[in-house]
Amino acid sequence: MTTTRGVLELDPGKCTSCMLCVRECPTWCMSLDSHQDVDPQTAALPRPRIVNVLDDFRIDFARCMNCGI
Amino acid sequence: MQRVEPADWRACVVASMGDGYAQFVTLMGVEFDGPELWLRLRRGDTDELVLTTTAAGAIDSIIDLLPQAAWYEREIAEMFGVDFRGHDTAPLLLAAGSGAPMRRDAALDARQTTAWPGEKEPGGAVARRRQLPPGVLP
Repeated sequence: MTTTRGVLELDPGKCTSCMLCVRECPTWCMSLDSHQDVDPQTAALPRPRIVNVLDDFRIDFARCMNCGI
Repeated sequence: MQRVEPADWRACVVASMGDGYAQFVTLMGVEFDGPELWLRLRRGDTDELVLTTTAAGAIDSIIDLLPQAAWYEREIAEMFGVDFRGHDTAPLLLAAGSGAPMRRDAALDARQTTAWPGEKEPGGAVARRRQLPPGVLP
């Protein structure tokens, strides 16, 4: 083998809690909890943005098949 | 890739083998609107031909032409519920009555008792409509 499918990893700073990965996962090995909150950068504005905030992200590596989604 | 009518499946394989595509590479089952067969044949080192057909009903077996296809036909028969005429595909891989688990309308037992993690909405919002993963019936 000269290629790899890489490693499953979460970058919390980039995750928008969109649930796409959890829904696409063929083995149901991921779970994600999130809530909605005011974006701190826009909190002082008249109409602050509401963003998803990641609470919990779990991967069951015993189930993960490194499918590369 | 060459699309073939189910009734012409066997005749087309015979014709392709006559053209030199006599080396069997693989036979796959794929489901789009219904089960399909994808047969890959090879001529020489690199020249390959792909024949596809729909297999919703019964279809002629090609194991007398290409004996290597026997196990592939068995897998497709059991996993997709395709009936191959001239090939005894009495279940060996799956328990009798398991249905055709690779079909989109098949319910997978383990998924009926486990909660799907993707059912939650981003940010815990209320779902507008219920989404369902493969293998779970509404």
